[in-house]
Amino acid sequence: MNKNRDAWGTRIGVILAVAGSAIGLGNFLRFPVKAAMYGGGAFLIPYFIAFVLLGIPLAWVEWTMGRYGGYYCHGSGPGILNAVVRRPWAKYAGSIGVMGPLLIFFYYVYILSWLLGFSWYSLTGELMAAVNNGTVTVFFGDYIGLKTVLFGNVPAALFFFVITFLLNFLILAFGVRHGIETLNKFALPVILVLGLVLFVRVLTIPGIERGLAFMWNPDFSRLSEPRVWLEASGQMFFTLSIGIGAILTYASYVKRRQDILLSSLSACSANEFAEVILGGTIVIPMAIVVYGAANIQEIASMGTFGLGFNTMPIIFGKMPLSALLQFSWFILLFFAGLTSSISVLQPAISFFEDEAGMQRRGALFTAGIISLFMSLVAVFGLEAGAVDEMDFWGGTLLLVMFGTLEAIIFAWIFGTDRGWEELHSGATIRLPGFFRFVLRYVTPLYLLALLTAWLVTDFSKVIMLEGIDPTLQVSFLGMTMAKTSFIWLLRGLLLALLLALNGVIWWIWRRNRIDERLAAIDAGEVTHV
Amino acid sequence: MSEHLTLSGWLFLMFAWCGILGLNIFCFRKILQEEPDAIVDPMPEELDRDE
Repeated sequence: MNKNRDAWGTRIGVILAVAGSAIGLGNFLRFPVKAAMYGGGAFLIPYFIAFVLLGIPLAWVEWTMGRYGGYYCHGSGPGILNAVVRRPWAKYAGSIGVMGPLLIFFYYVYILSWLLGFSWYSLTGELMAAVNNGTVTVFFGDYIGLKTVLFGNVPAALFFFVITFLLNFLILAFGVRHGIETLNKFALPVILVLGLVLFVRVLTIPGIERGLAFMWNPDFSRLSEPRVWLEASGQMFFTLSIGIGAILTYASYVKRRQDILLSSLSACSANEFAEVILGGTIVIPMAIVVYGAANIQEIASMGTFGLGFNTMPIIFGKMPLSALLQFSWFILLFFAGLTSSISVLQPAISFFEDEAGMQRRGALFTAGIISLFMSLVAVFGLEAGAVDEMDFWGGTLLLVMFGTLEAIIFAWIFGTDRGWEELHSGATIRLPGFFRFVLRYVTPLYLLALLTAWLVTDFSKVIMLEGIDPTLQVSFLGMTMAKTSFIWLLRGLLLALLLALNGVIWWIWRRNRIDERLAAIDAGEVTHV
Repeated sequence: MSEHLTLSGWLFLMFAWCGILGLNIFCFRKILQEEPDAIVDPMPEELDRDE
């Protein structure tokens, strides 16, 4: 911890950074698929209810607690929750705010590298050739299966993975202001321009009304299904990057007197623009026009990867300037993903810098070694199910758990009244009192209900690996084993990593006397640590 | 399901788009109208606290 802690250069910079963290692949691929599958326009009812009662309030909670922790020079989950709660357990609970995003980074950076690779193949014309030959699925399969090679015999997926991995660390090497903020000031306008180009192109396709009709005509009968409400709430987590720990870290670099209320709302609204207006218009309506409504369920069932990497190149391939549109699509997603991937890496960097007291170079090196090892597990274990497993823990369970924990801490431990004052400190607008009630009762109870519903319906199935054939054999680095064995080994590795992280937290707190320093700051005995 | 946008479809589309655009305009107009508030020093020499 030191007084030369990095900070955002401008207010618009932090807004763009948080919006960049939120705007990712989910906006352009996950949202339209969910909306199309769960009631079209009617999906927007639970979606917007979740936005008002869960998304925005939880974003305010994270911004408030993050800025509060940054006041004490803490920028990661353990330090921030410890500063807010002042109980020994809080720092261990906060470890989820480091482990969760890091876990997402392990596999997300590999998926991100596919987008860079496909941007490249859009430019070289090889993707268009695959479209013309009707072999896009094979092309994609060969690519992620490390069969496509570059420069003689280097697997292309591995080559683009190394470039993407290094690019993330290179950006973070420049710090918050000169790295993250600069990237987002460049990338967000690029995403907006490319998104608008594709948006206008889609709206000028003959027959697009059929696509918009499928996407927006409401099917009210679906609103009686609890699943629709669960999916809409879940989408809110993914889309706003809440419960991950990234906003917590980003907000810790905001000054105490600077507005967080309007900044948070602005970042959320920018994300909604990218998701509902751009994301909701591009993918599914285009797929409807090209493939017809009868085939859309089959296309949606291919999942986000199938839709993004197989279907969209084919759709763009049927249009004039196809290579340019394909390139625009993949580079748009690449930038959207890059601004998200650095945001899930930064909490770990902040942990090593702020809590462990490392220099940035040391923090990057430590996070780099851990990430490289685990990302290679994702690269070589893709077909064995490593990415899905990491996504379940990092991108689903820990995220909802951490979000629930944050909401409870804010409402019932830190105190809504105190939190309300903290949220409004330096604010340029004031919230209606309705949101005080929402923050105190609705958001934490909503999240508890969501978590409970999920634990009751799905948890045991996923934990016990129901649906996976126990005789199914997979290959990992030349070793053949049952897929269930591979997943249990991976779970053991992830658990060991979490335990090691908590051991490090215990050691750091003793060595750096962090609790004593917090008390000294409160007592005014020291001005910085 | 209708192949054309129904009245309720149009209403949902317009409500969602206008609501989101309105929120964006409200937020970013307020932010851009304010004085530029560049943070010059990450952590100034003196204490970065309100008290």
